[in-house]
Amino acid sequence: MSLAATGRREASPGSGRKQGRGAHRGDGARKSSGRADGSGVVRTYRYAFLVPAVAVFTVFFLLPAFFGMYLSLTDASTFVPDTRFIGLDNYRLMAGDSSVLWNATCSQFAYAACVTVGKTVLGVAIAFLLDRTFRGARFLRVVVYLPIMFSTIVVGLLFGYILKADGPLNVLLKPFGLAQDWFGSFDLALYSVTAVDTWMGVGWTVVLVLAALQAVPAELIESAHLDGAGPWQVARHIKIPYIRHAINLAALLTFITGMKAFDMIYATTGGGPGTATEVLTSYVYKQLNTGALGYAAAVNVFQFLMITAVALVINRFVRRMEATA
Amino acid sequence: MRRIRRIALIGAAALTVSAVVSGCAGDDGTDASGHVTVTYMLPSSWVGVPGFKENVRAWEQKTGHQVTLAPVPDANYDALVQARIASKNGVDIFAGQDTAKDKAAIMQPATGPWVQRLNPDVRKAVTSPDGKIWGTPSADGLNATGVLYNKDVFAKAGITAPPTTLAEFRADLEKVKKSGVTPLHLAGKDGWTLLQHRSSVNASFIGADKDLVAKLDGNKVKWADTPGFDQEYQALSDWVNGGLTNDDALTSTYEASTAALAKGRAGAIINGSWALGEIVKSNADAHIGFFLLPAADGHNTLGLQKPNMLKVAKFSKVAPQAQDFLNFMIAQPQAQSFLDANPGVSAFTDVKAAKPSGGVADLQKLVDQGGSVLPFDQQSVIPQPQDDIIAAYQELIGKRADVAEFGDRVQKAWQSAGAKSGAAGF
Repeated sequence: MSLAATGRREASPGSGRKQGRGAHRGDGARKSSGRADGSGVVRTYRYAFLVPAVAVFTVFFLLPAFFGMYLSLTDASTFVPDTRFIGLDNYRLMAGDSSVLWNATCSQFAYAACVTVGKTVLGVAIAFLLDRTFRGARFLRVVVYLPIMFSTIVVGLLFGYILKADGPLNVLLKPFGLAQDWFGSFDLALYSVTAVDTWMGVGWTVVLVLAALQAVPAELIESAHLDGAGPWQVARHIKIPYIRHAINLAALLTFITGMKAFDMIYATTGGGPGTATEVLTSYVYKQLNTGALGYAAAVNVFQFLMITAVALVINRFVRRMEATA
Repeated sequence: MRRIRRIALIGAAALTVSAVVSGCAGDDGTDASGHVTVTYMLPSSWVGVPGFKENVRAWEQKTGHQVTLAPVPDANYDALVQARIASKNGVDIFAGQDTAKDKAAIMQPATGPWVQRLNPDVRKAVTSPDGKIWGTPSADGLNATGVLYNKDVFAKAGITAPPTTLAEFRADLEKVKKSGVTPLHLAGKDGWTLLQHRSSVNASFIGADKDLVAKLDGNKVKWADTPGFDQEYQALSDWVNGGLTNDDALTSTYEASTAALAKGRAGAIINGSWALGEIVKSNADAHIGFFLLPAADGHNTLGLQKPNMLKVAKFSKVAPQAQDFLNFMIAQPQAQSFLDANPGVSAFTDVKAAKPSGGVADLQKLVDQGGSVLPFDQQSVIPQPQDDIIAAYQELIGKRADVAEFGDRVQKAWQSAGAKSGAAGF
């Protein structure tokens, strides 16, 4: 009822403008009919404006998603021209590969958790640093954001060189007995990749949090200072609560990105050594290499459902936290 | 209004001209002078190979026909060929698609005077069970996997002849280590290089049991039950555990391994004979030899890869000319000039490298001995779970898995690949 009323209210000015143009041309008949049809036109053209966005979303997102789901129910393969509907067989095969899938899922969660913690903690810290006024602050902002603009493959190759067994980092660390085979160690490889990913992507969190920090009202901070609050207390009791929504958003989006991570892993370790850095996405890639399109699509559907579920849970948790804060 | 009319007139004129021009071409793809254009879709890396374009131009001059070379980045090659085949347009000659189940639907069987010139082992390998040959072999050299070794390093370590047993090989590696050089360089970051060990080992397995591929493809035997499996992989594990391989075996690359071998920093690598070109790039003066990886029972077998087979598309309107072009490219004079520019082992009995390098000469000797088999991956109908096998290899050489666990992982990957492909028995 209220929506309909709103619709009528929105329709009036539009029809009035149309009527005005008609009156200017001296077309009295069209003037009256324009008022009658105008509300209908307005009602429909609101939806017409949505058409391009809906069309793009449907063609580039919805249709491929549905096609992927359909593929997961077939035996589609790059080696066989015909595709047969096989029901849930691919999902049964996934159950047969459960130990490998479980390992990949755990690694994906560990990866997402590490990059989320790393990028959020570092990002917030750097944003606080850059929120201060000092010489070179603008330059530092550029420097922090710069790595995002590099190609992931280039960054992967670069760190492959820096972190290799006899690379520059180990040359520096060797005198202290801290040299490691960063990408070659089964125990360290996953964390080495997350460190590189954090280095590359922390700028995005910085930008988001810094924008929120700069929106904190100056008078609020000033009154806190007048009340005798020190920098730490201002940060803890004024700024962080004020920018919590931005931190939460950055963390949530970083986690979701981490749950889909592939390019950095592919560029640095290729999923190895062994399966030490194999995540769901690299597992899907490996399946595609064997031509098993249907099976790869099934794993993708599984990953999509898992990310959606996790994102919903995190979102609800964050909202509850914000509500109680 | 006048402008719109003018644009419409120009458009109509352009359409008319294009219709007239295209009408000059016949349905059989010939132009007004009776010549045709053959579209050859090839991986980008093939275009710059010495001697290739010269032979293409020679055919064009001889026949008056044209060859349009359509290079495609290697990584996207198969997908783009499949797209052109699906649209039945834009390609007359292509490579790959060897695993297509219905070959007759997309390509034409090939024949020519070259069939009788083929090395008997190669002829057997390229002839399908129905007696047809799906594709024309290219002039490229044949490849095999085995041990590429630095002759100077081995000589300095006091090794006078290549080993024939696993025990001898181990002893040789120990000698190289004592001389202060890394005996065997593994390039675990480029996982495909580890698969060359598998390819070498599998060739000897097939040599010992000709039905092995069928048995494994039918899931009638387990990989670990193959005679010699435990010994071969235990030997690899022992080389790593005995410090006979490089410390960065998991993170080293193919380029690093070939450079180390070329410059005498490593005694040997396990790879394909194609690596000889890369080694020469690092050090043109390197003396490199080639021998087969010793087998557990002492009887190793050469796994000789099929030459690249070039196919004429089923829908090609210029199929006779395309086949004539392919036949010309491997006629004796052209095949010989190509091999002179790219020394290797030819698939043809009447083509030999004039001055083969050590590695090529060693391989030629093995090919001439006969008795080679087609590598496992080229015989098997199961899509090879290469990434999973690479992961298993990395765990073996990373000391995270023993031979029994390695065998389990390979078997699981094999079972999974067989089931996903819908093969009978899985």
